[in-house]
Order: sequence, then C-alpha cells, then structure tokens
Amino acid sequence: MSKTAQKRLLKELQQLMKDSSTGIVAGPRSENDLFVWDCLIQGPPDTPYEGGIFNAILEFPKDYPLSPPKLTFTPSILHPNIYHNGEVCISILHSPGDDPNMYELAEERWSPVQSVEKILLSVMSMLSEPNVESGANVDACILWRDNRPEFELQVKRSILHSLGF
Amino acid sequence: MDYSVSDPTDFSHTSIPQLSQLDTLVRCHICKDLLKIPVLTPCSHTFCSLCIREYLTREPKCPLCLNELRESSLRSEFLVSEIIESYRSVRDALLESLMKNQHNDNGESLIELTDDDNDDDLEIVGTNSREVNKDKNENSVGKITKPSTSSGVNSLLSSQRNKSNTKEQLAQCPICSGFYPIQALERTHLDECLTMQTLDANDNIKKRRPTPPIPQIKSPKSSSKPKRGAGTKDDVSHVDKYLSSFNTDQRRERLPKINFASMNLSQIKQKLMSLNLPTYGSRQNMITRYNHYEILWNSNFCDAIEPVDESELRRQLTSWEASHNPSNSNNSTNIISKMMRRANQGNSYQKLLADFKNDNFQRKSWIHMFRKDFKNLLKEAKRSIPRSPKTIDNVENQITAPENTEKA
Repeated sequence: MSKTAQKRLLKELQQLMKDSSTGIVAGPRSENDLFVWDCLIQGPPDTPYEGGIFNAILEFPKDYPLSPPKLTFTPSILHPNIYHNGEVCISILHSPGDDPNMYELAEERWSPVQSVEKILLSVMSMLSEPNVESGANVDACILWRDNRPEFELQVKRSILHSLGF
Repeated sequence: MDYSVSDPTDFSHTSIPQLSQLDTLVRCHICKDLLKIPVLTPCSHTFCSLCIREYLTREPKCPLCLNELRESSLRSEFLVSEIIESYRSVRDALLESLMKNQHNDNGESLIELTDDDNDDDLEIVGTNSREVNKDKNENSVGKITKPSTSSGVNSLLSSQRNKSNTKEQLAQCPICSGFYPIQALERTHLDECLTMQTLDANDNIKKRRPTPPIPQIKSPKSSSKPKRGAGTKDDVSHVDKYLSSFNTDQRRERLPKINFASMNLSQIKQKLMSLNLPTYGSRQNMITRYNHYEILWNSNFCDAIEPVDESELRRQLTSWEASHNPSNSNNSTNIISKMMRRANQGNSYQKLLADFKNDNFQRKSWIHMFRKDFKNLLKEAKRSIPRSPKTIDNVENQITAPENTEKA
C-alpha cells in the first residue's frame, strides 16, 4: 500500500466532499480501504439517461496516480461505450502506453494530473454523447445508430426498473 | 502517516478565499501535496522531483502538456523550493489566524494582526503580501495593500535577525513521514506520534472525513510547539538557505540508469553492494530496489537544496519497499496499533518478570500473555514427535500449562 496513493486519494476525497460538481457523489466503500470507491452518477438531462442514478465502482491501482483507476457500473447499463460487465471504456481511463483502439488522442488519456472528479465528469459527458466509433458494446452501438427510439426506450425502461418501478 | 490532509479549499472559508489559488499553485499535480524538492521541466512545468522522476520511468512525457520529457532535462528550482518551504511552515498558522479573523470581523483585523504578532507571524505577512498583489489586480481587498510592502521588507530583515546558526540534520519520521531534527525526533516526536496515532486510531477516519480542517484548528496552542515540524523549521531561515544554495559540497554524481538485462545475478548483487544496499530477494526485487534508489538518490543529490545523507536515503528505500510489497498490504494504523500493543506488552512483561522470583508472580497472566507462543511451541514439539499412542498426547495436554510456565 503506497503512501503517495493514499495521501493523494485522501486529498481528492476531501476536495470532492467540500465542493463537488453536481450530479456526482463518490467516496471510499469502507474506511479501511481507500482503494475502492463507490460512486453515484446522475443521468445527464436531455439524454435518455435523464432521471437515472447509476452506481459505479472505482478501483484504484496501488501505484495511483501513475496508473488510472478502473470504473465499473454495477449493474451495467446499456451504452455503446460500456461493456456487458459494466466496465467503462473511455480514453481518460486508458494509460498513455496502451491504446487498444489505436485512435485515442494522447491528450485525452490518463495522466496523473487527472482526478476522480474529472473521470466522473467525462463519464457524464460520455453518457450524453456516446462514441460509437470505439464501441465496447457492439449491440448497443448498432441499436444507437440504426434505431435510436428503440435504444432510448430500452434505456428508459432499465432506468425505471432500477428505480423500482 | 499524517492524516490531517490539507488542500486548497481549506482557504475558501477564510477572510481571504483567494489564498486557495496560491495554495493550488504551489502543489504538485501528481501527488496534490505541497511541492517537495520542486523541479522545472523544459516545458516550464513544475513537479516534485520524486513524483516526476517516478512518472518518467513509465512515460517519457510531461503529465501536464504531454511534451516529450527526459529525466536529465529536469532542473531544480531552489527559489520555488524555499518559497514553498516557508509557506509550508506558516500555512497552519496562517489558516488559523484567517479563520479567527473571520470570526471576529472580516478583513480589517488582518492589519492589526500583523502589528500585534510582530515576531512570530512575520512570515505570514510576507506570504500575504504576495497574495495581496494579486488582490489588487482583482480589485477586491484594497485596504490590506498598504502595509504589505513595508512589512514584507520587515519580514526579510527579521528573518535575517532570527536566523539560528544551528543547521540541524533532518530525518523523516517513519509514522507521520514529516521531517524533524534528529534529536527532537528521537527524544519526543516518536513517542508523541505513536500515542497520537493509537489514540486516534479508532475515530481517526471518522474525524478526518466530515470536518477535515478540524485537526488543524483545534490545536491553537500546539502550533507553536514543535509538533508538526512547522515550529522547528521556523528556526531555519529560508532566505539563508536559498542564498547559500550554491554551496554544493554535498552534491554527488548522479546514479546512472542501468540496463539490467545484460547483467547476471552476481553482477547485480555487486552493484547493489557497492551502494550498501541489501541484496536479498529475487532478481526482479533487486532491480526494482536499484531503480527506486536511483530515483531517490538523483532527486536528493541533484535536486534537493539540502541533500540528506545516504543512510537516510536507504531508510526511505526500506520504507518504500515495505509499503510496496504486496504481502505487506496491512493497514498502517494496524501496524502501529500492533507496535503499541507489543510495547505495552513489553512493559507488563517486564513487570511480571520482576516478580518472577517472588511469591507475587502472577502465573495466570503470564500464561495468558504467552498463550500463543506456548501453543506454537506445543505444535512444533508434537510435530517433531514420531507417531506415538494417543495417550501420551493426552497426558501432555494436561501438563502443558504448568510445564510451559517453567520453561519460560
């Protein structure tokens, strides 16, 4: 367990608690382990995800902030850039070294100057603007591209379901 | 580990919220802490020497602008270093007095404060004046500008006056990782740090999370004591340090990067031995050890304004290795509470032992205290006995406790 990582996570937590952007809440799951956070992300307005509250887990590597954390939605949500297991695929979560899709701009990738808040904000903007070119969930990509109303309907339905209706 | 986490938003509820800008600027973008041994990149960005060197082993780019960056092109910034160190030493006091100010009345009392506390808080004035200039541009707080220039000079003069000739050697506390003069560390700080940790161990986390600045505010008196290192460092004049920074007799040759792929095990061991580093562990362990030591060494002897000596570097290396060893992923507070428990045990153990020959000897608590050890001894003993009838085992079990007390 690295001191640097711990200190840095504590600082980010403190800053998030003092003034976080609207629509995101995040904090460590338990007091004994700073390396696993629970996050709540609000569906951005004017998107199919509006009105939804999505739960996600952030898992930090021991060498954070040198390496990026991993973000997983639990349960997974229907979105072109989210794998079936809930894992989020966006450039800010990829370290500059590996580029599985070969077209991410270096300046969009992870670097230690990024932060939890920036990650969650990019996830919110990812929800409002899916990037079908680097799709993680191919079915969702096709649905989004070819049959938008059906896509929106399915998203709405799963949101209602998640809210207990 | 120091859990009283500071961050720029500490200032947002004080009488000069703009200070949080200054506080943000003097932080490293990698560790988000106040810059420690700042270094400048060719692209004019500043990071902690250790942070950026470690990052560059992964990715030869500046984390901020992503321009290509090599370790050899980093340059240390003595002035920034001392600016930040002097800021660090007054930050708590500054925060505290600004909080108080806001309780009394806003703004104006700042001037009074600078008049009142002429000897202690002069450095604060210095820091303020920098901020005040910024204020001017923002047209926000006009009244404070007047005293800034004169007191700024004052602070310069008086810090010359206050300078202490004792150039103490600093060492890092293994618990809170703050730097303290070795003597203070040995005499008082370690004890304080340990007891504080264990007292707070349980409610530490709860306390620090909802109201993080409290640990800093609630100790208005202690800020003058050498508790947080701030007080002790006040003795050292940052101006002097900067002015004498050309004094480079402590500098050493930088350690080179080594291509271990072409080396065999004994060559690696030799290399480590030549640096007085331990040679246990696997090949990979030794390579990581050298690589991190190289970072520590170069950051210390090439960038630091006041390099520490090699033994301190080796200590830092050991503590780094311990914290990066996956098998060692215990919570640090646990380790400390264990240490404390052992220390307590040590006391009562000695107390008990003192009574060993008297009738007062407390057999029961003695058995209780070493129950685990006894059990382990028993297990070992049983294992060494070749398969024998069960009856012996039973008999043995009956004797165990008294027998062992005698053994011990």
